[in-house]
Amino acid sequence: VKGPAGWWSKIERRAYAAAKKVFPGHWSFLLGEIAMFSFLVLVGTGLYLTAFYEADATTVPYQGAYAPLQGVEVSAAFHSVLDITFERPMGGVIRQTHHWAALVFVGAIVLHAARVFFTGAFRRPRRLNWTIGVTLMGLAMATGFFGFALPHDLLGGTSARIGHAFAVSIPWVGPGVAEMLFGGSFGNPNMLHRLWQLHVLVLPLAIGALLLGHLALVWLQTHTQFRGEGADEDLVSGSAAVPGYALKTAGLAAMVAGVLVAAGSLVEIAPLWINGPFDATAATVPAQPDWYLAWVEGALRILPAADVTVWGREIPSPFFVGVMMPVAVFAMLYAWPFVEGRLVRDRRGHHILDRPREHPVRTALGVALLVLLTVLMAAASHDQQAVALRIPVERMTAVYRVAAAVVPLLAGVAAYYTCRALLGDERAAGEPPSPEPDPAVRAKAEAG
Amino acid sequence: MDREGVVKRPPLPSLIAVGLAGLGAVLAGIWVFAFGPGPGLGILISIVLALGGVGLANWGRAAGSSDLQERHQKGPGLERRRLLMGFGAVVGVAAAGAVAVPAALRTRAATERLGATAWTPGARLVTTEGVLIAAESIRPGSLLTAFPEGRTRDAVSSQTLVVGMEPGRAGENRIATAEADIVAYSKLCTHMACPVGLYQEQQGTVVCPCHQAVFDLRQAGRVVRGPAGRALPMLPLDVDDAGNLIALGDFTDAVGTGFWGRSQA
Repeated sequence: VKGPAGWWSKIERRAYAAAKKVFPGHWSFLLGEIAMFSFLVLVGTGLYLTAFYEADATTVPYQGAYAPLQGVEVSAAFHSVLDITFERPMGGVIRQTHHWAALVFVGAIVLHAARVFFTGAFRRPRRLNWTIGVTLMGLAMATGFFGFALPHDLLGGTSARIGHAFAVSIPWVGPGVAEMLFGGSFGNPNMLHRLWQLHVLVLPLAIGALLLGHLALVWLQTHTQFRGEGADEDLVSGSAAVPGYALKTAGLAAMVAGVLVAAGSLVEIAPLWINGPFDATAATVPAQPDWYLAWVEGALRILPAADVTVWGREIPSPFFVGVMMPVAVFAMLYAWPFVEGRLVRDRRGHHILDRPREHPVRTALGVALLVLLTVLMAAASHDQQAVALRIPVERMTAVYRVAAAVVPLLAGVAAYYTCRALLGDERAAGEPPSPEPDPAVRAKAEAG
Repeated sequence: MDREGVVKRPPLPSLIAVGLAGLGAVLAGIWVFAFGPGPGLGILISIVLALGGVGLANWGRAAGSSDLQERHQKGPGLERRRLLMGFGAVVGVAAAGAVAVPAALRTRAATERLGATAWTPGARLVTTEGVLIAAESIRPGSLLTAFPEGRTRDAVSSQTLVVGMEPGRAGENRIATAEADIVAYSKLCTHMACPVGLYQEQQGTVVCPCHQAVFDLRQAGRVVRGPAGRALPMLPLDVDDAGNLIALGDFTDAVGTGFWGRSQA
């Protein structure tokens, strides 16, 4: 049949085939979905916020609903965020939901990446999708960083200061990077506008595009799966897209949104009215970034000064900590599927997941990296810990230097031997037989 | 299409949960209409979403079939060299742009702006409120933030720490009055350009609140502890005929975090 009727029947056939597509179910596969739904909540709440936000650092006397700041000199940006919070309908809830959603977004991405790493889901044919995912993780962190600065409170301004120092510190192109991302020197009148553009336009568009690609590849390549319930390298076992999987996914989307709105309604976050307006001559104590950048902050605190001069030009230590360290971590993540494939001489495709214990070396390396990042994250508030423990902050620095060197190593070794012990126990008990698919069901699947 | 097993009645708990969620949504609508949005509305919305979500997910569990399906592609599947190369090319272009754009923006003017401050020879020091600073008013132990006159608002990089010490305690570049030695430093930490603070008079040190770098103001701003790599730049001072503090020129070094073209800036 040609013409519109033909197109329609083609669409119909495609839709029926799609509705029958089988998706495996496992709780750990939901982490990526939680990240995606957090992103949707971020876009929804962000559209509301950006409608009222003013990216303007000009100072004005505050005249709004929040009495304690009445008459205080604040930036127009700070003023607009206070207005959103206290005077726009549901503005406070929407702003706090946005911030909570950002924390959950990056958290879900990190856990999702850990799941993919420890189960070997990144192996052929999914190396490409792994690299897209790692890119998404970096973009999510960057978007969060630029958004953190927008309220132009003392904490956000301090955070932008640190980011600006990182940009400036890059050899040769540093001043140009500062021009591109921050509009020039710190505190220049264009800075907020530049950060706003990155936060609401450039980075979210990049995330949206890559997210579509990420999902398309999952759809086309089929989802990976643990051994069992009849699944093998050639067969997916699970629930059809419609109705079971679609209902479950819609339910999860609503639950994620519900939890985020509940957090935004009940738990105070980023209280700029307490932090106070940005003041170029002050910094907050204590000052920590959001959790997903705390590892960089921790490293800034415990790594010694390492300013280097090359041919009379300076490379300051922020470059090594703030630029090279994250670049190194992300480079390792990007490279791992390719490196592992070479190391174990594996050129086959894999659809069945490993259990973490089946690859002790990979698991040990992953655990060591996660523990290292956690130690650095803990170091991000080491001045407060020193005060609480009543010891000098430099002793706390020394403690964290030793911890960052030793604890990840110990954790990696412990993970390695735990994997070996678990495998040994299993062998001693005899391998559990993997259930074979019912021949009748298999025949039906093969018939299409 | 095989309709058998596809249309299943939702289980009773799901029906109740989704029904309650619907009721809540109607309530929320009435609430907005009657009282306008209020803080309780967020909680109601979250309950509606969570209840509806649990209901739908439970329905999905009940309706979920146990199916097997062939993976249409085997072996390396979609991971063709072409695709990997394609994505590599996209990343490559992005990376090239990330170098080329800043390289183009890295003009001499941009570099000079980074190191620039508003201090000029003879510029008078003023407080944050714009008041001139009389040398005689500085006592040992006093610490204040100063700017070049007329630039209290826009001169982020010009912020200066004016410190009074017991006579004979300060080193070079000091102004000595009958009461005190006066020195002035850039307030921007040389580590990450945070404003330093917390003057410890006994030790003559200031601490940066961001990453705890410590500088000795009696010894030309030398780094005592912490992650900073170089001393706080000093502002050479003088006193004009009216007895007010003035700058002899710019800081002795570029302020804040170091950068590639710093020595040239």
